[in-house]
Amino acid sequence: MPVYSVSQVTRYLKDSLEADALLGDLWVRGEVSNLSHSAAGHYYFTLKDATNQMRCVMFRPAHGGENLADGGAVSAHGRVSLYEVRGDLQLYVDLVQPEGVGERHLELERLKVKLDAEGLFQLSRKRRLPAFPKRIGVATSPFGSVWHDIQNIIQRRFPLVELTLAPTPVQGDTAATGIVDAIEAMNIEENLDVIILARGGGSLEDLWPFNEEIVARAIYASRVPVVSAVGHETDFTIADLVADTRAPTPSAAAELVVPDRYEMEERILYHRRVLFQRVSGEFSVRNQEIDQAVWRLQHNTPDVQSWRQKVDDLSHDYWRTLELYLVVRGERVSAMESRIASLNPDSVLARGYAVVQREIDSALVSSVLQVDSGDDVVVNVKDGSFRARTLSTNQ
Amino acid sequence: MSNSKNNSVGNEEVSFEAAYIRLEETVHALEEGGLSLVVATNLFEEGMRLASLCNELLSSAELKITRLQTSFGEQMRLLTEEKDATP
Repeated sequence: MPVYSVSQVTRYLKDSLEADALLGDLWVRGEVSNLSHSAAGHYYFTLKDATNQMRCVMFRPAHGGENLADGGAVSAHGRVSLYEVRGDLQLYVDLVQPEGVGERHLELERLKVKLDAEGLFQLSRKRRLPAFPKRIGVATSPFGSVWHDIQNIIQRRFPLVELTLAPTPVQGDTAATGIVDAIEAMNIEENLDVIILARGGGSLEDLWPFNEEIVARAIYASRVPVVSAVGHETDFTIADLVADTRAPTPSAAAELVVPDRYEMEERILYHRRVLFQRVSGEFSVRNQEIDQAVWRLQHNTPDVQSWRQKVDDLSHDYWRTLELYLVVRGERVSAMESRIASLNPDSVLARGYAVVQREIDSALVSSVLQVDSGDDVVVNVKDGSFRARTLSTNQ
Repeated sequence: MSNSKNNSVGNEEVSFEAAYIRLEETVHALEEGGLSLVVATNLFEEGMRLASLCNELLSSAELKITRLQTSFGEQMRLLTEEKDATP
């Protein structure tokens, strides 16, 4: 029995395949996955049905590349041959046509309709996330960047929390049950405030566990609000539809569940300012009130000033009147003075008259009857007086 | 007001959430106005204290990380123990 080299066998296989009439020109129906697009413009993908799959390559001049999308069902035309370098059996595609909705998508759509009818997607049952969670659960793989990124973001934004990992595989056959297990484990915990269900980007197959019915039901049954964060922004899974909140990416989920400490610090600063403004406002209001009270007090007390003025005016009048009175009186006095002066006996004496007084009692003698012969009298003249004796009287 | 006393006395166990919410309450109360000067001043003092407490809590916090027991986690643990056990 001869022993062949690998190259001999691959060559033989290639020749046999290419000699086959059916394999040289055929249509294959299947679902596209693991699609990649090389810089040179070639497409590499896998076509598959419920159980099996095959590698496909489509070189640049071929038609219908725009119909290729992960999860899309297509009919591909080409030939089957062997890529000897890797020993891979491949369908060399030269034409692709869309084949309606792929089977898996159909299955997915059926599940969506069913769960929707049961009310699993109802917006009214979606819960609000706590503003300040104290304990955050994360259901994801302990390996890889997702868990790492979530830790970093929470650490940076709001480290006042406990972050609890519930480890689960997030792709492959055990993923769905692992996720259910993790969600249930977190619901046994008493003080979890929110759950993040996260997985990084991947192919539609990679994300498939998040489309599984048991995962949807576990999210639905969760006592703790669930944030789903599966794949990239453009990936939508059933888990996203059931979750209380959908985050476009795991990092976005981490940002969503906690406030930002710097923003909180700004808010606290703002509150401080408002407190200060309000209290100083209260004080200035009181100050104004006091000012007003003082003003009112000033304007409602008797006007001392004007009374003082009045008193001033009045006393001024008084003095004037008094002055006038005195002048008038003075004039009267001098008139009287001159009258009195005219009555002054001195002026009479000056004119040569004399005033006679009885010596005995100083009585003025104005009648001859007041003296008898021999009585002594005092005769007052202008510049003095002299004593005299009455010689005789005659009437 | 009795709330505020509880908060200011038992500093250790006040959560950020409780302190922050009370801070917002004091701000709202002052914003509404119509308070006596004594009450307003007390609210102001309390609010300022709470603001400091919140800032303190923010700056002193350290992220705590824990891990729950799941069947997957258990498998991982067993696997690593096996690895460690077999030289």
